[in-house]
Amino acid sequence: MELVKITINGQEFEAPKGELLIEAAEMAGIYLPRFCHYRGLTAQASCRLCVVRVDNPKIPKLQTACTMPVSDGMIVTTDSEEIETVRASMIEFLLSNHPVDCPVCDRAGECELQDQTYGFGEDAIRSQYKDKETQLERQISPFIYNDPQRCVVCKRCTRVCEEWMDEFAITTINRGSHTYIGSYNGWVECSDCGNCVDVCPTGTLLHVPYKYVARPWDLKQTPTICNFCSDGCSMLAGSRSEKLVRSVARDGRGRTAGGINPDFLCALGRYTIDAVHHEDRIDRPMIRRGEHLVPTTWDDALSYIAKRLGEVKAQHGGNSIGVISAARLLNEDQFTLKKFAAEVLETKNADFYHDEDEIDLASFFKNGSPTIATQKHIQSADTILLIGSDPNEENPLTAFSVRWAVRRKSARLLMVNSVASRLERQAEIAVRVRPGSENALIAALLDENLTNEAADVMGTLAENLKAVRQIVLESEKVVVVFGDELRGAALEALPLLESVLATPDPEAAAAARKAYLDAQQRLAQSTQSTAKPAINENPYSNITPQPTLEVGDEPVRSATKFSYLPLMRYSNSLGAFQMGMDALQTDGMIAQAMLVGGGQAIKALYIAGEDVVGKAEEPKGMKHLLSRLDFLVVQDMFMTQTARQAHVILPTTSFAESQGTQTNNGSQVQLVRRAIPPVGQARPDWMITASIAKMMGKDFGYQGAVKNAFKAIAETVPGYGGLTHNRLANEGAILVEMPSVDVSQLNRKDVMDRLNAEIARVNRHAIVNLGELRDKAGSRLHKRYPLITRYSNILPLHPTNGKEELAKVVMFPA
Amino acid sequence: MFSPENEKKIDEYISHYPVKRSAILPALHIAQIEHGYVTDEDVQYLARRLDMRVNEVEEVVTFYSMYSRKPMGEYKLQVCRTISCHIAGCDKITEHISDKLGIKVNETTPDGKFTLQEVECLGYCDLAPVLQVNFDYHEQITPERTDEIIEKLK
Repeated sequence: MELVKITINGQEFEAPKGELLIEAAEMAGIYLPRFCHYRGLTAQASCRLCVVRVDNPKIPKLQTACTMPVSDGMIVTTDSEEIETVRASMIEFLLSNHPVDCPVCDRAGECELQDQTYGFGEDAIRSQYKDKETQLERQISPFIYNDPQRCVVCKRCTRVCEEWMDEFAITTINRGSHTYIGSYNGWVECSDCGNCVDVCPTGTLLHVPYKYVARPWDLKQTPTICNFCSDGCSMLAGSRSEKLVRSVARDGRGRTAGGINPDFLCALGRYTIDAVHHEDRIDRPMIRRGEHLVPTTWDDALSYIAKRLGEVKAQHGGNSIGVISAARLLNEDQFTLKKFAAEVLETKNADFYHDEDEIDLASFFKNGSPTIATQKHIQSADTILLIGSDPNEENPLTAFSVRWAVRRKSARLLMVNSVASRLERQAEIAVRVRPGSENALIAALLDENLTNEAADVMGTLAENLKAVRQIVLESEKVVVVFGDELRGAALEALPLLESVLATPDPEAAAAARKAYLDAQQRLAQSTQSTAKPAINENPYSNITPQPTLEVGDEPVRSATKFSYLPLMRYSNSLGAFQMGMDALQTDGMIAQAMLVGGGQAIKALYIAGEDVVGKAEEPKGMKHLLSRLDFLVVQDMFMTQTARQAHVILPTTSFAESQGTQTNNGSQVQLVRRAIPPVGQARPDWMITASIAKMMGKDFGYQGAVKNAFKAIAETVPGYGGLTHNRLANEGAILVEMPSVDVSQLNRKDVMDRLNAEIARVNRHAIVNLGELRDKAGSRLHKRYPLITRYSNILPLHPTNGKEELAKVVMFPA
Repeated sequence: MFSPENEKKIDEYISHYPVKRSAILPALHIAQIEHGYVTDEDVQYLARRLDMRVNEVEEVVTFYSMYSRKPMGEYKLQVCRTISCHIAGCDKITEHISDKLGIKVNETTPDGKFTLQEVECLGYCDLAPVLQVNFDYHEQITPERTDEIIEKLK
């Protein structure tokens, strides 16, 4: 990174070239007050708090540090009397229209207006507006509470909504001192990410579920990892009196969990935490006595399980027992279950539960691991090829990174999809294809001669596929983001792209990139009324250096041309796969087969954390299958339909109550920390499994410490060597290197033949969905995470048709 | 949504700009002339027509004081209240109209004839105080002249 020398208040510092002065000063330890400036948002420069004097005769006035890039030899003063006066009067103006109702404001204690006033303001306000803004406080969405009187009109929230989420759901209404944050009909229809609330510097926007729940100084904030989608965002889990009350990406004091998500969190991570304290939580072990499940002690439950599993094993052999885990369980849990299955039960039937809508990991990693992309790779990619899936709904952080790359880094987004996605707005080429025909794209990319046939199968024009191929060919770095739609041979064939679509000439690639940027610029400047709005909303990014998402970020580029980001469905699908909880690796029965084989090949099942009945297409049939088992152990957080079928139920901890590790879709391991003590008598999954193993005569040597479980992982699982919980706590996300793919081992002809056979099977009568995005965000969320959203008191109340079904908020006074 | 002539006018305005959305200001004027104020339907229709979000249209409508989202009287009596007019005594004019019509600022007479508004600088400082009635300016206004104007319009 190129550094330049700047002088601030007589002291010389080094700063990255092109960095904004406000950030450079902060790096040098000089904090400049600000409301509107926010890392990762475009410049606003409306609060005028960060004014500084730049020693340059050409710049006679005070300058806003948030819009001024540093240049070599810049001399800056930040603390003169003149500047102090200006800042104090700016704050005074803001306060003249502020209710100062801090005692009843949820933000008090982590309010930036309080902090800036304390640090840079005067202790008295001399004026009050005669006609003070009198918009009344009101709820504007199921999750957002708005008190316009407290607003300082920094517009962080509206910018977040536009730039990060591409929602445009909230906006500024009126102007001047009458400006307030609102929307067209006073009601906000959005995907409920809640980022606007997090970035709000005052108490204007507040989380509805957190309203009047706790004061910030009473909160214990634990940095941990979200347990929902596979992106693996970090979040601060706030608890009060051992109860989880909120989760934020960044609190009002600017503290973040420091993960892979720069201050970003979506609805799932933020608003489903109340499920942790749901009344359906199982709080003690239960054992079946006839028709009823009766509470029992841990010792009784565990020894009964050990006895019964031992009996089944002795009678029918180890392979008659199946172990099924939920993909959301942590690495330690998965590893211990696998160890338990292999070493104690001696069964090869251990699998994490997944449907057709999970990535076909077995095929993807069949010949070793292709280069895996992380969020940083997306953010600095030249071209992003998105095949299948809708990250906007299912992996919101990935969608955020894609949007960032396109908007701020002029990346080119190519989409080949069978469903509508809001990301199409950012796409240069968005091709809608027949459901299930996405595999054909890989064939067309690998073999140009197959383009026409592939286009026919996909129900699109050959020109579209040719255009996609051409852009991929001439790009320097390509990130392929794909969903579960790519399966089998198509995944095996992915590593072939590297040689087939290698850029013929790096200079040509650079020229193509420049041509694209110039074209974008021309489009923005053009006066042709027929021109469509520029996709790239910052066409000048090749002229003006763009600040990175986080200070001091270097672009992350893969060594290979192609890198891949599989969008797994659950938080730890990849971890489960790496821990060996995958039956295909041991030639065992997969989870679905085990369930279907209930009572026949499988006599006993050990299900950890998965509601197989609730997720089945025919719950009744699944119940019947489970009832044929000799013995069913379910360890789960909730009294699910599956748990009701069990002979023994063991209560387990949620992600907030246990420590462990989780591996995200970018193959990064992160530490999940314990935020609250276990609810009731719940115990972590790994501990339960290890206890049963011990009773069955095999001590795993964990001695009740999760660190020892991870030590065992580090010793046996490839890629995890040298990792410890302490290291993860200090370093954050650490990349797990898996043995990389050996393309020479790949039988190209065989793969292509199978790929062609798969394409031939595509139903060519399926209709290509060319419709608009119709589903509301919340509804798809429920389909995706039925268990979690069912147990959340908040999300299911999401209104589907307007204000009438407003979530009930406990208001104070009631 | 609008009369055929006005629809044609909107098309005409759209053709003036590189992107459709730029035509939002004249389009809103047309909506206001046609319906007396910018209705909810207008906002939704123009958002669709100009490839915008309803929130963006709402933002524009509420930003400019010459658009109204509430029903207005047939004649808008707009008294300038910025500094020159203020010194020249615009307060008296506002008060006078208010007393005469029995309405406060930003209110409309029951018969839907007049709406009284205070607005910022109309650019006639040399002839202050100034009263704008719809698109006509009345300079160096006095309470007596105000009476005349209102009587004429009644």
